[in-house]
Amino acid sequence: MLRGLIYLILLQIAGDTIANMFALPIPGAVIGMVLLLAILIVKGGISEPLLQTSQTLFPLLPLLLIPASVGVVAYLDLLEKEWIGIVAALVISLVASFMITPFIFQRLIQITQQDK
Amino acid sequence: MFEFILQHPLFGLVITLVSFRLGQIAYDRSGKKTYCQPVVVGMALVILVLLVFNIPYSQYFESAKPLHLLLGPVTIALAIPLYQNLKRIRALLLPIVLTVFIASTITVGLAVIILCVFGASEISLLSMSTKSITTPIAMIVSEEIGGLASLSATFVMTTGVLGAVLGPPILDRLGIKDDGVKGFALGLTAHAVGTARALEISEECGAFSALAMGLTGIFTAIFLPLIIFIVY
Repeated sequence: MLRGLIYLILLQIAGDTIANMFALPIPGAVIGMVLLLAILIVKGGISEPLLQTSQTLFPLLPLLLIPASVGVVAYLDLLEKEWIGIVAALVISLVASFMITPFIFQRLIQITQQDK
Repeated sequence: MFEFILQHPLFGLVITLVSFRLGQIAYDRSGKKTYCQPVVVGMALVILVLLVFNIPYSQYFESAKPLHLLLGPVTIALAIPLYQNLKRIRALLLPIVLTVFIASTITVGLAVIILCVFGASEISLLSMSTKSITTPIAMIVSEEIGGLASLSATFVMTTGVLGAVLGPPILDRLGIKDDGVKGFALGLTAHAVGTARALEISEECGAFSALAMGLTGIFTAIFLPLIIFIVY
């Protein structure tokens, strides 16, 4: 568990460092994810400590999202003024996204597979 | 004494843990009803405590920060399900990239148009345009285009929570059975919160969600500033 966590934190620091050095608008975590994927492909497998850590941490992912989500409280004034538009924009675009994404994705899979 | 407890450096951390735990219990007791997601109940309870005891968000966040800091390393671990599903992802590479391009453009465009119709302020409009991408990218991009980073984070998290609650029932209603397709829609629309939900469905669902989340984030980070630059 601890070994896996150390790897992950080191990858995060590496990702942040790369983003900072090249002034990339991509967060260190995404770069770290790509780095880890590259390492796994080169090594051709997942080490036991890493697998264990990820299985322990994944169920806690929603918990880690709470501190940022609670930030809504800082904008109650603005939300009060513009809430109808904001709620409409968020909900309608969200429902639309869930309806069109699978449709587009499945259509494109069909089209590209017909080519082969 | 009461003040002392509220001011304690661990107070924000413990109310987050307790709220999440209560959320988990509520979720199990409700027979796993989607609107009872632990993250939704947990977030609502924390907000309630902050409002009742008049605790400023900055003071809460300082205390709950250790949890927030772990978000990055856990996101990185998503490379594991990605690796496990590499074969299928490779086979579908072209549809994956094209779908991210088309679907995220439509979604963001629609949200901005609706806000315009309701006559929202410019700061809301700009901050809204990053709503479907993971918080760290959204905050950086939002600042770059002249929005408010923290307001963007609010829209991002609201989208994520709504997506985790509304997404799976909509996908079921549409008769989508493929876990890869489900995960892809969850990650593209609801980023990390959607991915957390997708991981509960299956490893494959989580892998496609993580992939869609990463690609949508990178795609938006590159193209949104360009589009805003052209429009203005």
